[in-house]
Amino acid sequence: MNGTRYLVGPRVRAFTRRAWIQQGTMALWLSVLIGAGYGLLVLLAPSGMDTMPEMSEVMGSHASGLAAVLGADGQVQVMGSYLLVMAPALLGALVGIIATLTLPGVVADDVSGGGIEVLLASPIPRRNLFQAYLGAGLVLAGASWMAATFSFAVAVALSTLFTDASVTMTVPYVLALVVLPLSMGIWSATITLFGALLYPRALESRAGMNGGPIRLLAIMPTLFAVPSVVFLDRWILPALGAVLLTTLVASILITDLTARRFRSTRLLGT
Amino acid sequence: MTPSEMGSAGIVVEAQDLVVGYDRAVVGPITVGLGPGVTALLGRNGAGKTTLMRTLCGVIPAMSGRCAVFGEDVSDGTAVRSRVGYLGHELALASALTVEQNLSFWREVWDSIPKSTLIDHDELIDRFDLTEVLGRRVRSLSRGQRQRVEMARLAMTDPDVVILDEPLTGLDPVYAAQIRDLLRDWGRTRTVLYSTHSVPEALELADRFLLVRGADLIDLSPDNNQGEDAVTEQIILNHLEPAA
Repeated sequence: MNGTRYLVGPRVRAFTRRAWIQQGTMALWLSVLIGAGYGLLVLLAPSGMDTMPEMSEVMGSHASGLAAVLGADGQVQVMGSYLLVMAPALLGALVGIIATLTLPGVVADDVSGGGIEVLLASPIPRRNLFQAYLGAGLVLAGASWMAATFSFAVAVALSTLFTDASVTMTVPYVLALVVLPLSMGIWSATITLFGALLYPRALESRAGMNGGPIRLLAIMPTLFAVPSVVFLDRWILPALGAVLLTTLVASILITDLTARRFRSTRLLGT
Repeated sequence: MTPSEMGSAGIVVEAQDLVVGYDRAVVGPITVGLGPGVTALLGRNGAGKTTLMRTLCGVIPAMSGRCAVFGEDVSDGTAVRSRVGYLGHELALASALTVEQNLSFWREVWDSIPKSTLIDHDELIDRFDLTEVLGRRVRSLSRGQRQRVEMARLAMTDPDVVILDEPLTGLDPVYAAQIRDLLRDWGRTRTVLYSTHSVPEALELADRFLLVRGADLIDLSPDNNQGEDAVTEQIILNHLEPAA
């Protein structure tokens, strides 16, 4: 087999272009809407909620060390700061969700039609095919992350112009804005592809578990990522490194497992 | 295709003791060789025609036995697969994309394969009369138009071996005649295997007939016609539905 000599780049480009035509607009607008909405919420919505007695206990002084919203009097606005600090995790969840929504669509069209059969009949090694699907999913997830982060940043910046509030961010926080969504996007795309090709039924919606167990698994790491930014401010860099490393290693292992365990008979025989 | 690439008996596609199926054997063990010309694959619903065709072009692995094209195994990633064109029962076109976008996608995919030969885009459009539908989304096309696009996708790589799963199903008489002409034309120089439910159509188009019945593959080629002079509709029907 001479699969390793095949040109992966152009094929990923082809799959990505097709995925973009199929799902790109929806993914992009959804990301912009959620990113901008969340950005506005950080500065505009929570000012009246700082009087909640539990908020300062919830936040403590940890989170404001990473990023904070300051009022005109220079005081930390607790709720705004909380939402700001949570942004990397929430944007990560968004990117993860978009990956789980878009990637099955890209694969499903091929599976329900005859595309997958033609691809499997081609001389392209299966592992390379999965990489092409994965690449397309990651590019879509990456574009969603960029759109959401950009619109979030613009919304926050514009909000500060129209309010007396200001925002402070540390370098670790900005790193978290990059690492968490990226990690969640990689993980979600990988696990969703794994499900779509190995256990297509696991992506079907069921009562009480809309989206199926695979989607749940794809989103789950976000739950663990949240505490890493909120409560581990002193350990934020090692925590981010661990999240990124774990996601990368797990994704590589799962891609390998997908290629090893893929059975066209299972996919086409159902 | 060079003469040396074919087997001694002009065999291009070869199955040896081949057993095909998903979780259980459906057809086989069978041994058969196909050379240039049009071969029709017939069988009743659920007989295993699609499974056999998928196995012959490597979409699903054989349960046992061997399947080769030009003497080379069709297992995952083998280069010989680039010489095989496959048209499945379902179309390989993305319904949300235009015809142009679909053809571009497949062109890019094939372009990523070293040494692949691709027919010129404009020539393909002309040959399959696709100019007027290029900008239309596949979902808005009729079955016949979609099939024409699919045939263009298939012809893009100029394959030496063409395997088609019911390519004429659902086509109006005009489109069906066009596809028949194309298959006949391909059959002059290439190895064409196609499945169909229409015996009269197979008799008109094919010069060899393979019948799937139970686990067996019955070969009704003219020179292997079990004592008969010519293959007729009745002979085929008798084989497909033997007297109780």
